[in-house]
Amino acid sequence: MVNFSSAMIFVPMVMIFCGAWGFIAYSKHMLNSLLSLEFMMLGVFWLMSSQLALVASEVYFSLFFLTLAACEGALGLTMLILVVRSHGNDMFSSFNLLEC
Amino acid sequence: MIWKISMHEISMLTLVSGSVLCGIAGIKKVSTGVMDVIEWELFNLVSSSIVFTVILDWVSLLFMSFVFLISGSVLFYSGSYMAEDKTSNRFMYLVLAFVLSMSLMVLSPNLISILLGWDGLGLVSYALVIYYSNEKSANAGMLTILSNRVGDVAILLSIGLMSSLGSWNFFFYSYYLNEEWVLLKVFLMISAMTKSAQIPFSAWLPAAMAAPTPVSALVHSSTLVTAGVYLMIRFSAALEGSLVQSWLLIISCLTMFMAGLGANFEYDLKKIIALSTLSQLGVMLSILSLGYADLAFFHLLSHALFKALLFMCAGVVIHSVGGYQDIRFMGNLVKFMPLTVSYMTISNLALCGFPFMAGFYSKDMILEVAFMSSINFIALMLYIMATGLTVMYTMRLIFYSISGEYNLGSINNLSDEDYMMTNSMSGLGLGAILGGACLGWMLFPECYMICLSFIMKMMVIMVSVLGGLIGYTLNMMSVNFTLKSLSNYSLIVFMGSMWFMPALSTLKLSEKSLSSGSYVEKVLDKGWFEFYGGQGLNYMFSNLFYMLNSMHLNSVKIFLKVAVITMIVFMVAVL
Amino acid sequence: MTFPISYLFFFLTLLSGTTLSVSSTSWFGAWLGLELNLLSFIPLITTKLCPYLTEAAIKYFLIQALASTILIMSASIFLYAQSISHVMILLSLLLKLGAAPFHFWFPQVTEGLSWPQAFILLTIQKLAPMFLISYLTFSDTLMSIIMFSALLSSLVGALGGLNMMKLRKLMAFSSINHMAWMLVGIYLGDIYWLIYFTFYSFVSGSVIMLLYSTHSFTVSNLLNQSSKSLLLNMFIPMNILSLGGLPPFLGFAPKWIMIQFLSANSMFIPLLVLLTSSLITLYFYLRLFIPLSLLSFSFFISNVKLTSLFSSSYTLLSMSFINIFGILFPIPFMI
Repeated sequence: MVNFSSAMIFVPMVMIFCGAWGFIAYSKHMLNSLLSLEFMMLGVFWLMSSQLALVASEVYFSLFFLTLAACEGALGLTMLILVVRSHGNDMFSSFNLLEC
Repeated sequence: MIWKISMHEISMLTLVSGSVLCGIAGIKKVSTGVMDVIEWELFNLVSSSIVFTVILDWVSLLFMSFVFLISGSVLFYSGSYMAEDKTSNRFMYLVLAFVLSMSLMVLSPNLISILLGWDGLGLVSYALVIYYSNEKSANAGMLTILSNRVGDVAILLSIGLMSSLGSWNFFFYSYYLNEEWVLLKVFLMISAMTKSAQIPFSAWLPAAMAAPTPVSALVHSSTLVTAGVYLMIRFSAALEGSLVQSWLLIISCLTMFMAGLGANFEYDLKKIIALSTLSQLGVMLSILSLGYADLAFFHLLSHALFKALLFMCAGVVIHSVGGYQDIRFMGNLVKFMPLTVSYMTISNLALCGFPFMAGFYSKDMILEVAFMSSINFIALMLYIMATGLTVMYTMRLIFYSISGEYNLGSINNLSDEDYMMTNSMSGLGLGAILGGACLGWMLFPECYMICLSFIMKMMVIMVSVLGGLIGYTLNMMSVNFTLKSLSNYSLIVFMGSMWFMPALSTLKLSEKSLSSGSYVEKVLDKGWFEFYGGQGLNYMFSNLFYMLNSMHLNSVKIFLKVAVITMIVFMVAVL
Repeated sequence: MTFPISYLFFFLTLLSGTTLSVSSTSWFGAWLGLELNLLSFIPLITTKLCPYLTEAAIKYFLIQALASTILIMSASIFLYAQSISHVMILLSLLLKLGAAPFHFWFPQVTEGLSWPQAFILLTIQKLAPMFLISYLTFSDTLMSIIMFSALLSSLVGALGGLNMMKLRKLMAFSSINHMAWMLVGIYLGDIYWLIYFTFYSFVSGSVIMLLYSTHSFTVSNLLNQSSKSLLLNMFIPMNILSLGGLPPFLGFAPKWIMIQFLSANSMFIPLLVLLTSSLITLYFYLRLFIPLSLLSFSFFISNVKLTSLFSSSYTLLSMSFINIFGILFPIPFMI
């Protein structure tokens, strides 16, 4: 018999770590990082929904979470547009003005 | 209308009237036994009041009176002595500054204001010693001020020690200081020893004779050097029965003997008198350390009178023989300057303790009281020998300078007719004759009970007569005789140079420390300390900075990786 | 200083985010407040289309997004693994704060901002994570992590600013160093770090206002304009020394308090590290002093015109005055 409660922890954790791996390891395009961030957020959403379901079924909280995650994603996309307008591309290698 | 009043006249008038005032007040205080303490609160900070205290009792008032009298006479005297000097007004100002700091020292029972006066004395005496601005006086001044600095430091340390008492009015505490305060007593004794030139610090007093002679009369004979004795008199209640007292007894007896011995081998007129001053300081401190502070104060006052007079006579002699100070160039002065020589003889006899002169009352009483008290054999022998030696060098001085044959050049202008000098000596001359008797009647209305065996009672007279005979006859030598002293050359040098103390406190002290100081500076301060200290630290920190800086100048992706890896490392470490 | 009206709105949401996270009872609420704070700080720093501002904003955003994701993730596994979750929350908060092992982004982001934005980053943005860290002081593991981070921050802040010629980076490193004192204050108790934070905000605020009013971003900027006004020449060095914590000035007061309580709790080794690093920071503050006081000519000019005194703003003047003489104010009440 599979213990579903621990599976509901570990599977989203794997998802989050995959997202984090994508977030920190691929350093070419900024869009890639934003996508990884959203992926992590989805993993956290899964994790949180499952945990909240254990605690008195307060799944309603996850909507708050989704709202703010969407806001954060939107802000990330805005910054993508901003950086494309100021730098001309979204490569991390061009964000080097402050590295001196 | 322009009044031509010179500075020495004004100062003389002011100081002598101050002296009369202080003297009258002091006599009144003696008769009533009242002590006035005036406290002036400067300000009050965080519930601790800062108070300037002035103490007016018979001790301080009489001492002030004598200081004013002597300084007034000396200032009037130097109106003639320093008349040809370009900057004689500066000289007068310096002497007045000296009187000011002396009175600050005398009138305050507080250690901090005493330190002010004490430092002022050291500073002004330095400025006076180097007054003639030549190599010799500069060296003497340096020796003087550095020796006195030791005493200043000791007073500073005692101020630090006394902080725990809650006040620095040592005069009120001195009755309650028990054996736990031995360090404080030692420090105050050291400061008194430096100012009064006791044995390890004796070298500066003869060296300070490089100052003009009026300065020697005021500063290095009767007032400045007695400041140490005065401090000890004020502090005598705390010394009572302590170990410090017996140290002071030995040191002062040795000083007394050493100075008397040294004066017999000295040919410089002023240095002989300076050494006799040193000897008398030893007398004062020794009787003080036997527990008789009032006798010490008595001798202090009478000694101040005749010693200032003696120095002023020496000044007149030096002034008129053309600046020579060597007593071998003088001789037979009694024919040329009878008045000065009579004053000089009066003060010399007073110094020897000739009956009914000023010194007789104090010195005879001191000696007999000392013989009567429980004193050890070494100190007793030193006392007896020093008494004889005093008469010996006095008679030697008289032989060389006053009597005998005339030894100066063939053209000279020796006379007594500088009335400004002789008049200013007259007051002190009267004091040298009558001062001891008057003070004795005034300060000691009850008799001291002296109980001695016949031989001890006659000891003083015997020793004095013997010393006088030796001192006069031993020096009656002629050019045809072989010099006996050459056969004992090393012994003579030892005794004549104050037991090598000038050499020990100047060259021997400084050469090793200076060379080791330069070595330490070269090897440590400019060497290893710099290499591993300032420069080394700077080098190390700069290297660390460049390492850190290269870490900070990276892409944000690297930072993210580093952050996540650090977190994982932390988690692994915690688990 | 002119600013668009939307600033006011974003500033209010920034403050309300901080307030929300400080006053919430759950980690979810704290996360909510931190997100709100982040979302309103980004518009505040991207005021115009300038590559420096954009880069700073991106770097700040990526770091903070990662940190808050880790925070909410750890808060979610709270029921499953309690101790791990606390440690991870603490680490993510340290990342948000920019404390020592996670401080790398902090100087770069500060370097990209203008002075008022840097002031917000140096003070207000620290408030919420600091408060949240001060709630996490209930186990020995957490306390030792805080202490480790504090000591490392003090060393990094001291060494990092040593040869720095850029004033904003220098302020960032000095902020890291002061953060070390605050973290040790958290170790001691809430009131100590709050006092330190208040004083630090005031002192660094007055320094930043002076630097902002002289438009100086590097040490050579200071040198170039040092002949302008005697007042600035006197006030800037003294304010900087106050930031370094030199005794007669106000910046010494919180350090004094901390030294007192650290030695009362006999924590001498942390105190030794903190004081040593403060000494090194004083060295680089003194280097700022040199162009202003020693190399400028007008420091010695005696006929100062009073107009130059009053041409500066009164706020600036009064802040600098309090900063310099503030520690002396209680003295009249002691006499």
